Amino acid sequence: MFTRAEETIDEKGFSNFKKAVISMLLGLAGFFGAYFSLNFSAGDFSLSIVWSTFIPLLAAMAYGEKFGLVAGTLGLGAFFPFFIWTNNGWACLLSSLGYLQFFVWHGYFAVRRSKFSGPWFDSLVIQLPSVLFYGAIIYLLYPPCFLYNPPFWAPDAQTFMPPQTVSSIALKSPLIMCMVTILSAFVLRISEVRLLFGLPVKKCSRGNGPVFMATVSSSLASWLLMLVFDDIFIGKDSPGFFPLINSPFEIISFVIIMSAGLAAGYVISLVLEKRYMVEERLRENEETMRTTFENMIDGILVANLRTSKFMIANKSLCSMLGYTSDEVFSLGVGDIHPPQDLDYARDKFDRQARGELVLASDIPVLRKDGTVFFADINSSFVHIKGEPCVLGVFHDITGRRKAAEALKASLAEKDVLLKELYHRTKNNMQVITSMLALQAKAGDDEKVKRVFTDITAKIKAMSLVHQKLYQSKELSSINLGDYAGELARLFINIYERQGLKINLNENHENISALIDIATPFGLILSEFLANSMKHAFAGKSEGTITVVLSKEPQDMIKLHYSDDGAGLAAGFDPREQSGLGLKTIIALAEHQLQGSIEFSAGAGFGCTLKLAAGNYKPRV
Amino acid sequence: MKKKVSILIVEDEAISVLLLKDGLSAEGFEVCAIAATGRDAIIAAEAKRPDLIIMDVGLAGEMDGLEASAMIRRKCRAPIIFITGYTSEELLGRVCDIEPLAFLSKPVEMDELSGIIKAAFR
Repeated sequence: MFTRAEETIDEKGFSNFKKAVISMLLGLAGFFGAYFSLNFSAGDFSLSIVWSTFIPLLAAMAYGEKFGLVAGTLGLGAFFPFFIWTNNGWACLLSSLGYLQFFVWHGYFAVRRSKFSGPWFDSLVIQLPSVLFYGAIIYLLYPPCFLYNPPFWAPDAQTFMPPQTVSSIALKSPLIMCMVTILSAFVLRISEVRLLFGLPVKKCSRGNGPVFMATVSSSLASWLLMLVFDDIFIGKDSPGFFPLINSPFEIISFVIIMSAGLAAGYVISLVLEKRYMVEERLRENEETMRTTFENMIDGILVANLRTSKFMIANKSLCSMLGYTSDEVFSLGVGDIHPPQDLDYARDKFDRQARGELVLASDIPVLRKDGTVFFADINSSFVHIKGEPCVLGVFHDITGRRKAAEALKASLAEKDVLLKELYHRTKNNMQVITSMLALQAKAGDDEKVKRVFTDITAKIKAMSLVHQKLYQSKELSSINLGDYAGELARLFINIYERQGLKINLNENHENISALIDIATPFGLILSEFLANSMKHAFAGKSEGTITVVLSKEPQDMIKLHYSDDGAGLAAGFDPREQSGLGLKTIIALAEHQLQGSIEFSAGAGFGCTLKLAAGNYKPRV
Repeated sequence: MKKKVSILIVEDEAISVLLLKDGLSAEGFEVCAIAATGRDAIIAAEAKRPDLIIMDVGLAGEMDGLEASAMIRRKCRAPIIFITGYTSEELLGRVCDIEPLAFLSKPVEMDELSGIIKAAFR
């Protein structure tokens, strides 16, 4: 029924109508129950414990001051003095009003428990003023009431009450009211009673019933024992209703012992409730921690540093290692790592201990069946039950390693495929150039042959880019300096003629370039080289070609090309008067490579090309 | 005299630009501007207000041809013909979102391109 100590059931409770009905019934029970009062007498001294003060008080303390008023008025609970003390006349009215204030006063405070209330507050602020007030009005107002007797409903009412009697009542009544209040408060803490009244019941208050019974029994037993010893050792004073009750002291002591016993029992019930709640909370916390511990996906292992044995392990860890929990506790660090990796593992753990390492990663761990898996182990040093221990959290990285290996394999496969692609592209270009060469050989027209040679040379320039890519490590970029040098030598070879010696001056920085840069660069350089070889050294036996490649600020590349040949004709404007070759160079340099090209004047042909290397991003 | 259809060519490969420019001029069209990047294409479209845009999908720089076209469409309603060497379902989907006049694979046949333009501007 209950899941937590402080959980309550039936918080909604009874409706106001039902409460009112119960209050009225309790009031009536109190009214008629006055006839069954517990009367003690010893000589001239008598004391009545009237249940009429207790039964309506239950309604007031359960439901509040309004229902206390209902019990006292509509239920006639406060008017029992008219029933059993009719001869008191107007004093009955005074008593009734006094009991009404008693019910209302306690009912008001009972349902407005604040966090500051407690036994001391209840006693000094709630209890004492009420009973003292009643005692005071009895003492002060009883005598005047008797003067106005007899009233119309009690023609035989007495007109005088001796002062000692008034004093006695003024003292006895508050005492009985105190006992009755504590009794009501305690009774309303019993779970079964609260259920009857439709009040919220807490799981932690289930023990209040037995505590109440024990309290009442022990108090009664104490009182009876006191009576026995009183008769044995002190002797009989005067006969009374009960054979053992022989003095007013013994009667008063009943009220005192019962009140004290009930008060002590009340406090004990509070302490027991609190203790039960604390124990429940501890149990719940422990259960939460244990559930978390056992259901963690990562394995948790605690090793005793003194004995080097494992002392705590969760289910995940046992499952990882393939041992039962009992088996794990007989193992040590040396049993769960492969012998050849033990030093490696220990070294990592030592570094963790020294604070040099946070995570011991990729640690081989040995299962019971001899297989090995890899784990990242996070360690921290703790004290458990006074023993120095190390707490290890094992994270199985098998999945991650497999994914990494798969990725590595995929990347390797990609590299292989890419290389194959570059190779095939180069080969296909080779086929094209071969076909062109064959076609050139087959024809007679020298002009057509020269055109085929030019096209073949350009295709070889692009094919060389793919060859360099195939040979490179990154597969996405080539060394532009190496490419420029090799391209120059290739073109010198393609366009060589007998009797002409070409010196190649090259100076290259280490520049890496993507295919998007290298291909148009190769076409530009090949155009320069072709022009130089075809036109610059006509009638000469020796010539020099200079190719200088360097890096420039802001991710720019500079190519300076020159030859010591004939140069451009005077007045020739490369931008306005050039053929397809120079137009292509200018379009490639300025449009495609977002660079600049400048032709220099002077001996031979000179050109400086600057291109932006950062416009393209690697695609693979 | 009938006004020539003005065309903006957006293509980063210089040789393709030369070919397109020569071919379109020979067919009687006017190439009013060329651009190699998406950013340059947006500037040229705003400045020149071409009748037609021929846009390469794969461009150098941060913006590809499709992104540049989307930006151009906000200010210029000129029809767009896309040309590309790439073919993929994802690319086709993105192209269709822009509702081009045509989508041609490289290498572009000048006859085919010219026919599409003439039909659009009859």
